[in-house]
Amino acid sequence: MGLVNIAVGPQHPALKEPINFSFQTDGERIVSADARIGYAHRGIEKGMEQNNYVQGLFLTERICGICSHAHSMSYVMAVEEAMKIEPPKRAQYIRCIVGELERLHSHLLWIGVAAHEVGFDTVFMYSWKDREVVMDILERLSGNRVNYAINIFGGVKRDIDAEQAKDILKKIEKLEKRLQYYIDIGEHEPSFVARFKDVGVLTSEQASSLGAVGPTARGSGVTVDHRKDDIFAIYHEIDFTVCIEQAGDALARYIVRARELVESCKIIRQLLEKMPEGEIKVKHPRKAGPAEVVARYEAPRGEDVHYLWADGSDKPFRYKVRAPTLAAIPATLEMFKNAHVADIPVIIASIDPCISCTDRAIALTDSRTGSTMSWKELRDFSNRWYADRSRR
Amino acid sequence: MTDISSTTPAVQEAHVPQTDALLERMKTLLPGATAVKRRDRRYEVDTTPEQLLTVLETLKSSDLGFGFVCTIVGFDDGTQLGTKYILGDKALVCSVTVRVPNDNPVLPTSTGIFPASVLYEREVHDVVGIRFTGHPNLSRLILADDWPEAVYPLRKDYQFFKDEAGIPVKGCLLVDTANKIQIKK
Repeated sequence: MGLVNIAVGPQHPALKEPINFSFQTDGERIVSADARIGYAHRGIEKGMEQNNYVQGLFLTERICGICSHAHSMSYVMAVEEAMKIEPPKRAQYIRCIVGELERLHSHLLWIGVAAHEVGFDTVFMYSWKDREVVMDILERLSGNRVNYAINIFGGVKRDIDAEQAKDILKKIEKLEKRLQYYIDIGEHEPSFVARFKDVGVLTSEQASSLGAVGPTARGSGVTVDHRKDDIFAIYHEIDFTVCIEQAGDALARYIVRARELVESCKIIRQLLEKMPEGEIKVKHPRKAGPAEVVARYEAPRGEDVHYLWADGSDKPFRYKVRAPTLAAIPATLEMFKNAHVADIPVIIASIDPCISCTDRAIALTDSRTGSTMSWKELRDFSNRWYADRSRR
Repeated sequence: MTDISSTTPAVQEAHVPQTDALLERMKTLLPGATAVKRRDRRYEVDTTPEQLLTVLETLKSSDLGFGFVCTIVGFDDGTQLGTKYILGDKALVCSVTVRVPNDNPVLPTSTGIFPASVLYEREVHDVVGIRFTGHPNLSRLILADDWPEAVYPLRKDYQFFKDEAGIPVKGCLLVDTANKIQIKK
């Protein structure tokens, strides 16, 4: 029998996000794979050029629903360099605390999804329950569960008071005891290990040459972590270990993430202990540049690169975002080669893909009446709605 | 206001011992290209389309060690199109700028040197319209399947149509000002 083409996605079997893979298969074996993205393309880069720097902050925060703080961090780091301002130390600590909390909730979310992919739904339930602890902390710190909106150029918008810090420490301590369970599963649980081991193998050389980043690269033995390498914020004051596994399979990527959870808890504790007193922001100018800046941030999924070309006005001349998952796709296509068709969901899930998914609203349909509303009508409607309420 | 370069922590300085020696090496190894150090850990190189592949290969070589392509930025500076290859090693970043004429934007593909740039070049081709000769598959990557041909959203001479509230309508209508054609999506 000849080769058969199988299309997987855009509604695909791993995560609830739109990406299309097309596989050439010979029986149960995958010969080659290709990917098509863009189903969630919202034109954010063009949007950045048309809006001023402060408006851009809201846009970058909405690039991703899981690692919103990672994009916001890369953006403020780039703009602050172009504006030639430096945030106070306390602000840097608060940014990193939120960043590490985000890493915790992102990895816990992923562990749940990965467990679900291999039919181990108990772990899915446990990890998402544990994730709620982190979400509660984030909600208490920022008022939000997803877009924390903590960053502003020159610092942060909200301080962390002593009571909040005590609360975080208490919850993190409770969480840390639970985390050993996830590491144990990856190391000892026979059915889990059997499903993940030797699936989607990526060698160290392939990971480097195909541009894999973050836990995907670290699972293949590549020691790259910008919290240690291209150091940003105050990570040089923090003691932590970069988690590396040599096997390069899906199990190695699982163990890297599970260990990183423990490291993140360690980092958060140090950050809270070492956080200095003082201001949380400095004033920032309205315009930036002329300057060209490349900011690299270690997001939960790996290196997040933002490029800013500032021309001295109040808007970016060119803004470019390279999210970690895009960098991981060529490596993922390599992992598929010679794999079984049944391993597709596991391999896709193992890179923790994040195909940002919210499309821009164009027409909104009322589910009860079936009538549609344009953006303008929706805006007028909401203005009227709130105006009426205030009079009561 | 504080200047960032003067307040960068000493630890970060200590992390990259060879910085200025590296710039000198770049200058010797890349004749014909201009190399500058923008700040701690950030370098910039300007080159021409003819020399591009040689420059990228030299930067990747063990002498300079930028073995990783972080991303490729396609841009339109108002007069010319171009790309910036953001190359990295663990701690350092070097961006290589190359410009091409607006009417014939063609560059050689860098996929032979950096296999990872295969998707980045497709993206640049989509949004800025630079063709990469020798690329294995320059098909559409991020724009929608029904997006009109030869409409490149990140060129400066394209603009959004907006409604009275300032919101782009119908997933954005674009005007090709050069050809005076209104393109409806």
